[in-house]
Formats: sequence, C-alpha cells, structure tokens
Amino acid sequence: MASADLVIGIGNPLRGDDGIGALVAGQARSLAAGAHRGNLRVQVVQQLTPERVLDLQRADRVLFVDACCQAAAPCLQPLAVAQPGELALGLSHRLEPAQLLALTDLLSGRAPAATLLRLPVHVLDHGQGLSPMARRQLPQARWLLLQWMNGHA
Amino acid sequence: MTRTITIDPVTRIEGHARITLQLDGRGHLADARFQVLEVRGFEQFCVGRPFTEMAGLTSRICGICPVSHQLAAARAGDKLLAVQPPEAAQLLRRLLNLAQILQSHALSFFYLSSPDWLLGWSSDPARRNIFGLMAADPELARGGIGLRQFGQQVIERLGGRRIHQAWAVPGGVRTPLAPETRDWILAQLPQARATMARVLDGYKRLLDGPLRHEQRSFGSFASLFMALVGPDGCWETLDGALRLVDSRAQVVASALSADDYDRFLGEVLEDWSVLKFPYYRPLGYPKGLYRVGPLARLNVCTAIGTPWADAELADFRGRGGTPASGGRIVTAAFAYHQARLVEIVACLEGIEALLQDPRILDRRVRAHASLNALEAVGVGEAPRGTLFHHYRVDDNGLLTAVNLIIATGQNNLAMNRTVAQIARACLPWPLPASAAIPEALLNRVEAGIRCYDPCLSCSTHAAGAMPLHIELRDASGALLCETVRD
Repeated sequence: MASADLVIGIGNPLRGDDGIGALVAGQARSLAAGAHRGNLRVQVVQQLTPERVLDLQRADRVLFVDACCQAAAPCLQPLAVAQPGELALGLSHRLEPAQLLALTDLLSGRAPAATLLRLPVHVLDHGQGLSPMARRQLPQARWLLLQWMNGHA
Repeated sequence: MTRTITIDPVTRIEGHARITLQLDGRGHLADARFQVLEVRGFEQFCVGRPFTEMAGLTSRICGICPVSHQLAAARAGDKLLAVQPPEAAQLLRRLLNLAQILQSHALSFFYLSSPDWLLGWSSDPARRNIFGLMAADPELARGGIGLRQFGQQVIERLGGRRIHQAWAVPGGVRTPLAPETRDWILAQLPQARATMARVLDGYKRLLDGPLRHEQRSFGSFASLFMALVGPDGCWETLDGALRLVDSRAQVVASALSADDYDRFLGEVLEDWSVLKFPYYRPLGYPKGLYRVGPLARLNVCTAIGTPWADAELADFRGRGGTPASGGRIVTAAFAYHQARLVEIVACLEGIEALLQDPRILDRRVRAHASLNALEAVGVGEAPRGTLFHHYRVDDNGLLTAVNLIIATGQNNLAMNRTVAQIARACLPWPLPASAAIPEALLNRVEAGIRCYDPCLSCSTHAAGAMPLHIELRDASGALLCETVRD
C-alpha cells in the first residue's frame, strides 16, 4: 500500500520570496493530480500551528517546503524530532517543523519521516511575486520535489 | 528608596508588551502599568482606500481574529451602502463569527493559559507551554487542538482559507453555503461536544479544588461590563444593542447604538503606552473603567438561549457570582477562562442551530447598491470583546477617517488594575530593596494579563515578536531588576 504523504508549503505570498514554499507546494498538488497520486495531500500555511499535529498523525512521510535565507541552493534535508531543550517557546502557536514533529511524537507516540526542502530567498519585502533570483531556483526545487515524491529522497 | 519591577516581554499573549511595577519609598506598590510599545498605524494607512476594501485589509491586522475585523468592516459597509444583507448572508456571517470565537477561545484556553494551572504556577517556565501540556495531559491537549482545528476548518470551508480571508463583504458574503459543507460541519459536532463535556468536567474539578481561590479572587474588582445583547437581553455576538451593567448587577445603560459610541465611550492616550484607554464617558476617566469579552458578555446577558450553555452559565454564576450582585455578576478576571469554555459550548450549540435552519442554504447572499451614506460604524463581538469600526468616506467611497476601537484596548484600564491587584496580593510587601522576585509570583502577575487574552496585534494593529518583560523600578524611575522571556 502506498504511504500517506503530506507536503506542507510554509510562507506568506505577500512577502515576496517568502511565498516560494507555497508556490512549490502548489506544484506538488499539480504533480500529484497528474500522476493520480491520491495518497498525497498538500497544505499551504503561513506558519505552523499545533493543529497541524492532527494532519501529521495521519502521515507516513511529510515534506516541509520553506524559504531559507541561509540556503545557497535548493536542498533536501532530513528532519529529526526536536529534543526537549529545543521545545521552549513563548508564543505556543508558531512552531518550527522539528517542534511540530516533537508535538506529534508526544501526542501519538510516533512522528512521520520528515524532510525539509529549503529554498534560498533574496527579497522579503511587501509584495507578491518572486524575485528573478528566486524564480531561477524553481526548476531545481521541482526536481527535488519529484525526488521526494518518488521516494528517492 | 523606591523600586520598579518590569515584566518584559509578557509571554503567551498575542503581541509584545511590558509590565512595570513601581514601588514607593517604603517598598510598597505605588503603581502598575501594562505597557504596549508597538505601533502600526492601520487607521492611518487605510485612509484613501475604498471602503469596499476594508474587510480584506483589516482582516490582515491579525492572524488570530481576522474574521472579527472582516465582519465589523462588512457591517460598516452595509450601512454605507444602506442595504440589509439577505437573510442567508446574515446567518452565514453569524456562523462564521461563532467559529471564530470557538477557535480563538480554544487557542487562549488550551495553548496559552492552561499550562499555568495544569503544570503549576511555579513550574519551569521552559515547560509552561503546549509541549508541557501535552506531556502532562495529552487527552486535554488533543481535545484542545481538535477544537481549535474544528473552528478553523469551519472558517476555511466557508471562506476558502483559515486566515486573512475576505468572504464577508459589504452587502453580505461572497458565496452561499453548499449542502455538503453544512453536512460536514454537522458531522463534526458530536466529537466537539464530547470534547467539551470532558474539558468542562476536568476544569470544574480544578475549580472545586486547587483553583477555588483564584476563581473568586484572582484579579477581582468592581467594574462596569459592556457587551452586545439581543432584543431579549440574551447573549449576542453580531447584532443587537450595547448594554452596560455594574458589579452589583444594575443596568447602567441599555439599548445603546454603536452608531453613537462617541457619546458614551471616550478614549485617552497616555504617554507611556501606545495602547489607547477607552472609558465609559459618563463616569469620566479613569473611573469609567469597563470590561469587555467573554466575562463581560456572560455578566451582561440575561441568558444564552441554548440549553447546555445556559446550564453552564448557571454553574459559572454559581461559582463566581459576588454576594453584592446576588450571585449574578462575576468580577474575578480569572473567571474569563471558564467564561471562554461556556462560550465555546454556546458556539457549538449556536452553530448546530444555524445549520439546521434551511434558510442558511439560500443562494441569494449579497445585496448590491451604490454608496448611500458617508459615515458608518460596524460593530460585533470579537472573541476578546466588542469591536468597533468607524469609517467616514467621501462621495467616491474613499475613506477619509478610520477609527478602530479594539477589545484589548477597552480592557486596558482593567488589565492595569488587575496587574496591581495581583501584585499586591501575591508579592511579599514591602519588597526588600535588593530582593529578587520569585518566578512563580511574576508568573501570577503575568497570568493576570493572560486572563484577558490580549491581542496586541489587533489593539495596536502592530506586528512583530511576541514576548514578556517585567521591570521593578524605584521611585526615581531607576531600574532595580527585570525579567525577560522570549
């Protein structure tokens, strides 16, 4: 039986390149529809909140797609569950992917295999649309997305 | 020598704020201030925009209660168009608002406040959060997460997205309700009801035990309370008129129209906070302190109007009602938490009733008209209290003036009073000149603010980091010690 896969695109499309996670996640939706991959669900969020635990509980694999100022090129990075020392937070409803995995693990005793697709960004000003530099990353991002969807990453 | 204690930033609230405790020369509390330091200027940069954009623009003030701004803006727009939205649109807006109140209360109760009493006032601050809650009581955490998700899913299914949607518009809403969406929501309700039954049972056990004292005395003081009520005085979240009651259960004013808010509400700006201080004008400033939000709504209404919520309202009043009011009015700020649970029940019953009304599926959901008025006030009950949007427009419908009166601002005087009351009750007065303030005591002061679930994004319309800062200052203003938590 195919694994239950989940893609979560993170970012704000009104803040320039920060919307790249949402855009790439949208491509995952198109690719899944074209390949009749009913086992793949796609969500787009501006930030990760604890309610996402209920989605992660039903997933075997999860791919977080997020903008990253430190990344030089698109890359896939395996994600581990956050350790207790990394769980302190003041706000309680804006989480990092590793923290969300830790919540899932705490609540259900298991967390899905997780990967982060980090996408380099350059312009985070107000406004829609990607910068030319971010747009140039899209083919590589799509290739990495396909690698993950096909189980090669 | 005098001292000042500062809590900066205040944690587990929606925004960045600081609490300053000012001591006199004998080491006693002279003043307490809840200081908000951000400003965003929404009222200014909306000027010049078409009023029709306001539902979409102001829903972006906040990621927690965007629906409240959207609805207040749409209702102000109704008046500028001088239209009555179709019946189905009115029902759908009401449904949207109930889902919003439900999800916001779940966030406040489960994610932000419950760690204080489930993990203990003196527990490690690093564990006093949703992670600590999950470890201590996974069933409660799961239930809270499920309730918040349910509220958000209702919002998403109605308006197409969970936050920052622009579904409610002047004249109605953009799309009718599909029967399958109605059926989906109805199918979720039994689980949500079961969760609430468990949560209420558990919370009442705490109120009967370790929280008995807090429920009656934590942040308790006489004040006015203001909320919308229906024609029969019942709990209301969108229509109706404003009513104020005092702590002796006397109706101070009733049948007030939001259109006239300027006659009975004044606003003062102090130089030490960017958050405005609204007050009840007939009593003057600061005597006209009043409270809004779940505690106020339950104090002001005669009944909720649905069976389970009315039973919970009776329990709420039975536990916290003051003798001076004949058991009718609850004055402790801590009771805001139970009030949120009662309102979640009211929302669940209200959602069910709305969805069982066949009129809600009507396809006509928007009335169209040209500009017919140049000034309007839209009002509604947001999760944190009454929300006013006041617009003036020119002949082309472009905004010339905007005033937003936000629930958190209306609770500003009360939050300052609460901090002072809790600090007096919990800290060891007089404070030795060099004494460090115990973390558990500081957390109680901070928790006094969290009772009101302040949303500083809304009240200052500000964005940014959301931490807590407490300062202790002497009479000359010199900083003696401080606690900062991110």
